[in-house]
Amino acid sequence: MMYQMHPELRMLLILLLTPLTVMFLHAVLVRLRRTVPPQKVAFHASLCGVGPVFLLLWRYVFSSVGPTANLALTAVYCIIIYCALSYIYFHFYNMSETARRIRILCEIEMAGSMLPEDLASLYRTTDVVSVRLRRLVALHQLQYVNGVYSISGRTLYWAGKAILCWRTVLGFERKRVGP
Amino acid sequence: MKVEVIVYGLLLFSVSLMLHIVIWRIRLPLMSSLMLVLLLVGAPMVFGLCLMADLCGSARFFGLNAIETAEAVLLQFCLSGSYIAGYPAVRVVSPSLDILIMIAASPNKQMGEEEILHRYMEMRLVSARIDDLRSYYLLVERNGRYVLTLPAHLIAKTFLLYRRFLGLQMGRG
Repeated sequence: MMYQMHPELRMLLILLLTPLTVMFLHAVLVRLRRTVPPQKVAFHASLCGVGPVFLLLWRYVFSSVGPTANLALTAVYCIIIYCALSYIYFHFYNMSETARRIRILCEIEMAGSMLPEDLASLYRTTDVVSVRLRRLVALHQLQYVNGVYSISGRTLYWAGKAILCWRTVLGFERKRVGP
Repeated sequence: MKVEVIVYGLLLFSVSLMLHIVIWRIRLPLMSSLMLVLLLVGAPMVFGLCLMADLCGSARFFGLNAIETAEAVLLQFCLSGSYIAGYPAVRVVSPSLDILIMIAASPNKQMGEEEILHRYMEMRLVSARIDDLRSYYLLVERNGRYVLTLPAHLIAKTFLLYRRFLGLQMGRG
């Protein structure tokens, strides 16, 4: 049935399966690598997804395109789409892991309803900060030596800087706004 | 594949992004995340789907047939989706990124946990999020208790099911 379809339609269908492929691989990796920081596991799942998705693309799309400039362009297109869909999946996972709004919704969903003070006690400022500090140390973005935290990796630091610049472009208030 | 597919996909995304910058600079819309989805995904998708329906015969639009139009729309959709995924961190600076910038900007480039906590004690870490959820009608107060609206039920159930599928407990927020 796959062969009866137009090759470019096959390509679109395979690419659209990317988030599902990454999610299944992620579920496997989570169970195999319990000690690795969760965000790293999600990133590794995106990397592992390259194998099955591009194997399918090779089998059903690239082999029928032929070795022309068209093949290079199709490959570039597939790489862009794969990276973008993996990135979206990573953010979806990250929301489930780190977003306070999602946690608030899930807590109320499980409890049925909640008093405002229960919600506040469940989610204290000290917890919010401590969880993030531990997470940043696990991701090697901070190091904790002799009771103080200092910058270790620069990836997220530069991401933070870029976000502040983009806020200025969008005309958000210039002061550094808290969470 | 034609090079026009990539060019038009990028062009569609660039135009949407420029519109987003102009509108946001003039006035930050209410429910800005929802407006962003409509602007970057909704409008181009509707345009693309109408165009594809129109092109199902042998008609062409700027030299693209229905499948090629779908490819250009998918490219625009993926780029917009990536941008939207990162937008919450732009709208309200995330504590994690804020902590990193704060430590890097401190005189000794290092800070203790107490010092970091002190800064955050004055901020509305949770109540700001609750206000946000209420402004999106995801949370309502009934008889002094917070309850979820129907869309919020769906969102919460989706995330709970997703975490269960992954074999993980609920995220710590």
